[in-house]
Formats: sequence, C-alpha cells, structure tokens
Amino acid sequence: MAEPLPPNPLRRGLVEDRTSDACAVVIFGASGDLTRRKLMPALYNLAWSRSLPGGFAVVGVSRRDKTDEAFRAEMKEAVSSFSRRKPIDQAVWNDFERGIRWVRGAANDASTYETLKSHLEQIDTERGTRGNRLFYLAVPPAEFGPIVEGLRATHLVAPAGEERTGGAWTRVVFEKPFGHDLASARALNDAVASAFDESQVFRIDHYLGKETVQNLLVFRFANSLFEPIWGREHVDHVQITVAEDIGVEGRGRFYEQTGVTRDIVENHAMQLLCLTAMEPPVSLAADAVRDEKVKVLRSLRPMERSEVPRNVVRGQYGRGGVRGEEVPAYREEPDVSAESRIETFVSLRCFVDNWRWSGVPFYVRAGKRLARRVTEIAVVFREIPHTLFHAADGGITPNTLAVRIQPDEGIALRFTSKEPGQQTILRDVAMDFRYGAAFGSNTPEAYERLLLDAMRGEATLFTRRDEVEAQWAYIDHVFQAWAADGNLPPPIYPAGSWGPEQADDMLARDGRRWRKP
Amino acid sequence: MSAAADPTLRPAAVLARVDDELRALWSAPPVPGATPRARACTMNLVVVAATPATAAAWVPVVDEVILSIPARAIVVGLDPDAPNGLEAATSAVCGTSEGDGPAVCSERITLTARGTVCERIASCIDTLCATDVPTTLVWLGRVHVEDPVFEPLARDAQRIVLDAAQGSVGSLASVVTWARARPDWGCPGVADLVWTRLAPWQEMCARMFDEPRLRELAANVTGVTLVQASPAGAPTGAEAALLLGWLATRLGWRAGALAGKLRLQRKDGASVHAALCGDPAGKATPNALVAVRLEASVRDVRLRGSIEREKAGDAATWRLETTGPDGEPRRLEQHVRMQLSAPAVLLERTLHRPIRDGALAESATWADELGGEELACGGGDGNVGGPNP
Repeated sequence: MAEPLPPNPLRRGLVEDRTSDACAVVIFGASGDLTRRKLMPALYNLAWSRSLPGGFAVVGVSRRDKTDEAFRAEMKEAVSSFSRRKPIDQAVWNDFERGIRWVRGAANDASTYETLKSHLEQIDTERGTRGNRLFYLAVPPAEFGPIVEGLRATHLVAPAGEERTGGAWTRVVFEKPFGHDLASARALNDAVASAFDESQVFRIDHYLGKETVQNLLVFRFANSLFEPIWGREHVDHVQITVAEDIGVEGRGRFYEQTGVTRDIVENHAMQLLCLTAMEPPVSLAADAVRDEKVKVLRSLRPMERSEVPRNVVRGQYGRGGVRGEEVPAYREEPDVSAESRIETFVSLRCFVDNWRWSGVPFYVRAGKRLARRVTEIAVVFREIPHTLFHAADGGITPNTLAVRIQPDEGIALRFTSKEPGQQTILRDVAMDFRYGAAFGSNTPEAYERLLLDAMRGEATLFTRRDEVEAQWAYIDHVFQAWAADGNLPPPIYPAGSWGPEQADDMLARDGRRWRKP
Repeated sequence: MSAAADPTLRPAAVLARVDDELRALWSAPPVPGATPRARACTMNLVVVAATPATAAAWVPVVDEVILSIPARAIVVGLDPDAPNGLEAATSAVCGTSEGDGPAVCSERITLTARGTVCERIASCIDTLCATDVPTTLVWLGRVHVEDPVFEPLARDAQRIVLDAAQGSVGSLASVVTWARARPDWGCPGVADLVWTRLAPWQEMCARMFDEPRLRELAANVTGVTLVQASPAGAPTGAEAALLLGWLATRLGWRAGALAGKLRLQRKDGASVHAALCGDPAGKATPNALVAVRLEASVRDVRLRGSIEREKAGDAATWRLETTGPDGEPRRLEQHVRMQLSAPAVLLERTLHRPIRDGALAESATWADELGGEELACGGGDGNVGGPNP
C-alpha cells in the first residue's frame, strides 16, 4: 500500500487563502445558460480572489462546433455581464482565459471522450493540471448515464482515494434535477455508482451554497440561546416559504415536465427543512452533517394516499398582476399546454416524527408568480400560557424567528413590546439582523463556494445518495396520490397572490395562517 | 455633523458633547424625501496614530473600511508635546441604500489629544466605545507594550493590529510576547498589516510545492533570494524579515551566523543560501518585497520558482520551472492579483482574518531573534537565482 502523501509544510497555518489542487474543470453542456450565467463567472471570481490553483484549466464540451477563441470570447462576454465583480480585470482574465478550451462532442458519441481525453492529457502538460479532473454535468438528467459511461469506458475516472498517496483525483458534479421520482433517481445513482465511488460524487443543490443557509448551522449550534427552545416544547409550528414572483421565463417545456414540487420542494425546500429540524451533528465533517439530515428525512411521516388531499395543496397561476405589471396565466406561457395540469404552486403539511418535533407541523410552500420573491424559514413559537395584558386586537402575537434566505438575507426576531405612554399598549416589534448591513453585500455567490468545495473534495454542502433517495421517497407519495386521483387540474390562483385559497384553508383547519413575509 | 473644536474644554465636557452628537445622529426624524438611515455596528474600531496628521490621513481609509464592516470607529491622533487639550468630531458614514431599504451607516469619532491628555486618552476612548461588540485596536507607529496609551487599550481589545513597516518587527514580536502572557480569557489576537500584505506571497510560495512529486522538495530548499525596494546594502525590511521568518518556521530552518553573516540550516543539517537584494529602480513602497525566488533539489528533481511583483499594477507573476529525471524542464507561469496596495483593502482583509494566527507569532519571534544578523546580497541586480522569465 502506498504511503500517504505528506502535507505541504508551507500550507500549514495559511489562514486566508483557500485554494484547491491543480485541476481541469470539464463542463458538459457548456453552451447552456448555466455556464454563462453561473459557472464561468464563479470560476472567474475564484481566479480574481486567488482561490484557483497554479495549474488550472476549464474545458467546455458541447455539440456545437466552435474554436477555443470563440468560446473564450463568449465566456468573456458572459463574465462581463454576470460576474459580481465588474468591470472585468483584464490581467486576471488574460491569465484565466489561457486555460479555457473547447471540445465538440455529444454525450452518446464515444469519440467525444477519446477527443476529450487527448485534450486533457495535453492540458496536463501545458497547464500543470496533473491529471486531476472535475467533471461538471450541466446537462439534462437523460445525459447523465451516457456521460458517466463514456468517462468510465475511456478510463477518465481515477480510482477513489488515490490522491491521498499522490495520485490524481476525479470528481463529478451533477446539477439538479437528480431524477424525476424515486425509481429514476435510484437508476441514476446506480449508473453513477458503476463508474464513481460515492466519495467522488457531488450532487449540487445550490441553495446549500448560500451563505444564509450555511449560517443556519452556525446560528443553531454556535449560540446557546436558541437550541434549548428548538423543539416541540416551545415551537408551535414552522413555515418554510420559497416564493418567486417570476413565471417560467421561457422554460415552459422544462416546467411542463417538472412542476414546482420537483423543481423546488424535492430539493431546496427539503434541504431547508432538514437543516431546521436536524439534531446537532458530531462534527462538521460531510458525513456527520449528512447523516443527521438523512435522519430527518427518514423521520418524515409518510403520507397515505388518502391523506394527501388534506396535507398537500396544488395550484397553478392564472392571469394577474405582479409588481404592477399584468402577466399571463401559466397556460398562456410559450411551450405550455393550454390544458396543462402542472402545478406552479404547492403547499405541504409535514410532520417530523421524532422526539424533538413530535406533533409540530412543518408547513412548506413554494410557487411561481407569487406576490414577491422571498425564501425564508419562520419558526413560530407557542403562545404564552396566560396573558396578563389586554391586547386591543384580541391577543398577543406569538414570537417568530424568521431566517431570510433571500433577498435581504438575515434573521429577524418578532416579539411584543409596550408602546411608550401612560397606557399599556402592546406592539409587535422586530429585532432585525441583516447580513448586508453587518458584513457587506459582496459575499461570494453560491456557485463559487460549491465549485471550490468540489475541487477541494469537501462534500458537506452536497447531497448524498441516500439523502436524494429519501427526499424522493417522501415526495413520491404525493405524486402517486395525484396520479391515483386522475391528476386533477390544480386550482388557479391569480398571479401576484400568495397562492390558492385552499392553501390558506389548510392552515386555517389547524387554527393557523400563513405569514406574509 | 461636527462638533466645533474647542481645546479649552475639559475632556469630560468634550466627551459629553460627543455623546449628545451621537444620539442626535439617530434621533432626528428623517427629512421628508430623504433616504432613511439605519445604524449598524459590529465592532469598535479604535485607530491610534502617533501624530494628528497621520490620524487625519487615515480618516478616509477608516471611512472606506467601515462602509463594508459597520463599526463605531474612533480615530485618535496624539500630540503629547502640545499644550493640553482634546478635540472631537463625530460623523455618520453611510453607504448607498439598496432598493427601498435604508442606507446602512457607521459612526466615526475623531479625537485629537494634546499634552497630558494623551496619557489619559485610553479612558476617553473606553467611554466612547459601543458596548457588547468586540474592539479592535489599530496602532499606527512604534509600539512599546508599557506605553500608557497602548497598554490599557490593548488589554481591552479582542484584536490588536500593528504595522511592522511603520514600527518594527521587534515591536511586533514584543506585542506577541505580551499578548501570550495574558490570561486566556483576556488574550487578544495580534495581527499586522505587513503580515496581511504577505498573504499572497505566502500562498504563491506554497504553490511551488503543491504537486505531489515536488512535495519532498519543500524539505530540500537550497536557496532563497528576497528582493526588496531599497538601495543595495539597506537593512532587511519588515516584509522580507517576516517572509523569511515564515519560510524558516514552516520548513524548520535554524538561523546562525558566520562572520556576521546570516546562515540558515535545514533540519537535515544542510545549509540554505539566503540572500537579500535591493532593487532601487522599483516603484514599490520603500522596503516592500518585489521578488522572491526559491531553489530546491533532491536527487534528480530540481525546482526553481519565482514571484516577481509587476512594475505597474498590484499584481505579480508566478513562475515555476522543474526538471525531472528525464532532464526536460517544465515551466508554468501565472499572473496573480495581489490586491493589497490600498490601505483600506489591507485593513479590511486584516479584519476578516481569524483573530488568532500562530504562524504570525512564530514568524515574528523568529525574525526578531535574528537581531542584527544581516542577509548578504549576492549581487544586487534583482535577478539572482530565479528561472528565466
């Protein structure tokens, strides 16, 4: 057995700069929007902040025929438009673009991988990338299998763990959606596992790269104040909202295959629920954190088919007004069927059946064309056991702790206070902490953090196989119930509202109501 | 808003007026149509300069920093040889608002202490600090740990930021020693602006040994050349001294002397040739580092790495040339942003670093122990020992 590679002594105690090993990032689907808007600007920002290693290259792979120069020019324009650092730093770009290459090829064409392999070997020599590769699959899930097989067959996948003894590493990043139900997710996982060890697999949920989401762990486990009241004794219920005010924005064809439950709830909302409900992990190591999230997913009370109508509300946006603009109904969007039954809104009533959360409902809602764009987790505490004060509006509002993920990232605690004066008049006030105010607004984009983590082999912010499958296992009950009911048309809600009335009724039956975040 | 300077006022009266002004900054109702303002404060940033002129020069730097790190900033200029007096001014420093939200504002107080007030200025500063937030002390100039201004401020600070380029590596080391002697609950972190400026140099040096086949060479460095912006024969500047200290403490080098010349010895007993060259033609700040070159070899693998600050701009070129058993040289070159010329950027980066930095403490102590031993320069042309560009 080879000796472990000794650490670089000059890296000991380097506190500021976080870089990865030399490597080539290979992006499949490089002509897509994700590469232009997110991936390349993120890589450029990493170059700007000296987070990329000395030996680095980016290889774009797609069907289109273009030269390296043309790809570089496109990417420069994309970085100029979408990077958070403007204007582009010419010197940094000049250096960065020397490592940008283009390979033409299709996912199901074996010659693509042979061509790619010879390019990568050449890049290893020219750019010092040392055989380390990060494959980024920014392609539809249907192409995951052929690409994984192509990489395996061409011996582009190094055995897991070789880097510990000085060998090269290979990692693969998958963009969501990872499957469209439990069966397809399992099939994909099996295909991936035929070529890659789980330690080499990085399934991206870009919400986990957001600073506020990462801060949930810090907030919960670095403060002694909140954890003792974080459970059934003190929490009445939890509301998780992922609301967008935009429509499908030209992605009608995609949305017709997906819907908001698959697009948002199965991944982002479930991850937020896990981070809210999980127990303290034994460490921040990837598996320690992911083990605790999986326990939450496995504790979710499965919904019997008969319970779904009571616990899940679908909706689809009709015409309406958003930000003062008249907007079309979902069925009037391009590439959307005039009789579409796809849900653009969903709300769920979930229960985490464990010691801490027994009986506490988690209300989750997500939708498009809602009143405003906001993602938040609101922990609503129990009412006081006995009131001493007469409140004119009929009661004292329960305390609420709202963690805003976007926009205006921050944490607000709502509590009751006496209005100054001779009378005892109670008022709701909020202690409001805003990230932008405290730490400045130029925080790294989620993709910067996630790409660098993947290059460094740090998997905490990525979802593990059992996590993905547990998410699908829970959501599959809902799809099965909808299918059994003949996939009825969802109720229509006006664009610019907070969803269908049935969603309000769902909470009203429990004596509660949705927040207006 | 600014209080009229009135040196005849006693410090207590001046401080009372500052309190009133701070309150007034936030109690006044917004003018109709004006952007609402919100106060934010994540720390007290106490900046003490040896002269009122230095303090005045740092006011715009501090303003820039507290726009991104909201703080109550207290910028103090000392003039102990002038007639007694204390002057103060207060101001809100506001960023631009985003969307419909309020503009986020910090508070800045400037103080000028003259005569014997300087000796008691720490108690004035203590009165003005916001409660329940950490305090960072930025000390600009030479420092003595028993200085009646420095010691009480340092004792109450969570972090002390020095500038070895304005003070000395010796005084940095003495503060490190002083801080280490404090009890755990009151032990402030020590940072240094020169040390922060060295961060990209350190990272680029580390890069040279990242490749697994080159890792072993880190223990087999044969030569290090530091080039600083100074005339030939100038003493070792703070940047060069601290970088050498960092290399030595990471790689286990011991310092000795032979005929008054510094000699460095590796763990295995082999010597490391160290040279300091002056580059008088450089446009960098006097004594700033302009190049670092490292050479290493073991068996049939050789490495020559260099980092050259570019003449124009805040950037460097990193080069690595390695020769393996086949004798074929491999060259890598990269352009790297340094980003640390602007004082505000440098201070902001320093404030974002972890509070405790063991490498700084070890490196400063090592560099200080060199005492008067000087590095010899192998020629002074600034081109010794590096790979060909």
